[in-house]
Amino acid sequence: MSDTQSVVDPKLLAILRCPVAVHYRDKGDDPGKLELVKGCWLVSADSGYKYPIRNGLPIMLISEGEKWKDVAADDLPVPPPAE
Amino acid sequence: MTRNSKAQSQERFNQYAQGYVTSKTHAKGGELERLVAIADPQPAWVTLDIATGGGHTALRFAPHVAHVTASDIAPNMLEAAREFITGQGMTNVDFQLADAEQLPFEDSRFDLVTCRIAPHHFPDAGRFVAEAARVLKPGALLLVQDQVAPEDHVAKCYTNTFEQLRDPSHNQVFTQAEWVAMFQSAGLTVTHTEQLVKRHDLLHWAHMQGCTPFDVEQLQVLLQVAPPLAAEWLQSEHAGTPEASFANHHLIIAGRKGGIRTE
Repeated sequence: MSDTQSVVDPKLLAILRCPVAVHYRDKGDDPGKLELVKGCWLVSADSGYKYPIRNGLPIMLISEGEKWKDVAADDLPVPPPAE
Repeated sequence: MTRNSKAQSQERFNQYAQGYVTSKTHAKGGELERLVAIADPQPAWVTLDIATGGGHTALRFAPHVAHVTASDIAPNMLEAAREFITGQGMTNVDFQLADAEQLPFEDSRFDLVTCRIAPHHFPDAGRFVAEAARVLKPGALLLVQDQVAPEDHVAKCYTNTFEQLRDPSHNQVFTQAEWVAMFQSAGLTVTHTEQLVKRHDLLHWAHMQGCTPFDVEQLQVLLQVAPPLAAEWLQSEHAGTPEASFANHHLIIAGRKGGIRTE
């Protein structure tokens, strides 16, 4: 888990947004911010979408984020399962 | 267009990823230098390379800027690009899986967005241009190189059919006028256009996408029976033989987002 986290560039994490929520117009000036959870998930509080980081690559596809929408952040598996 | 065509691109480029890292067409130095000259990248810039493929464009820009973000929709392609670029000693490039039409970035983030030899695979190229414009800073540049179609409608349909036979994930090649319209619709002012002619050996070109002998036979026939304006565009030589070759045409188009540039 810590290995996965360490290979994702913090500069990249700072600019990534949920590709769904970034278009929201009712969530303030900077919608779609992501929180790093368990070192290998990027979670959007605005949309509920959750994006896995696999082998150091954030998987920022809406289809992937949507799969985990109804899973509580605490219940996200570590490491994220392979596709 | 459907999700299936995106899935098709993912599947095919996952399958043929390494071929694109070693592809002469995609690695061609002169064309990449031309893109660098047009963009005039600055050391403080943060740039995005969409559909990075083998990573050649990201690698070429990386020494000129502070940081490059490289994205692609195919995981194997992105892994191959990461291995290639980090193997070249570059430490200012990061990677993430993303859809060119649904970019996972905040608005007005990048000083330059590049996309080379990829939009003809996108189900909705207009949406890609709009998303690229969204993530550009005011005054920043979108720089695209892709195949371009002849303006004649029949010749355009014919060349698209020819390309789709070789690669079913090929969606559509647009004319220069269509590209200019997409840029303008996204609020970009077109600052540069130029066209290039690239010759391809038919067998090598077909092999890159794993064509069967039957596919190749059909491609050979299509080259031989092309209607006049399509034939003029394709400039085929030795059609029907193992030495068959043809030309396709590329457009380089750059457009600037409105507003005042801030560093």
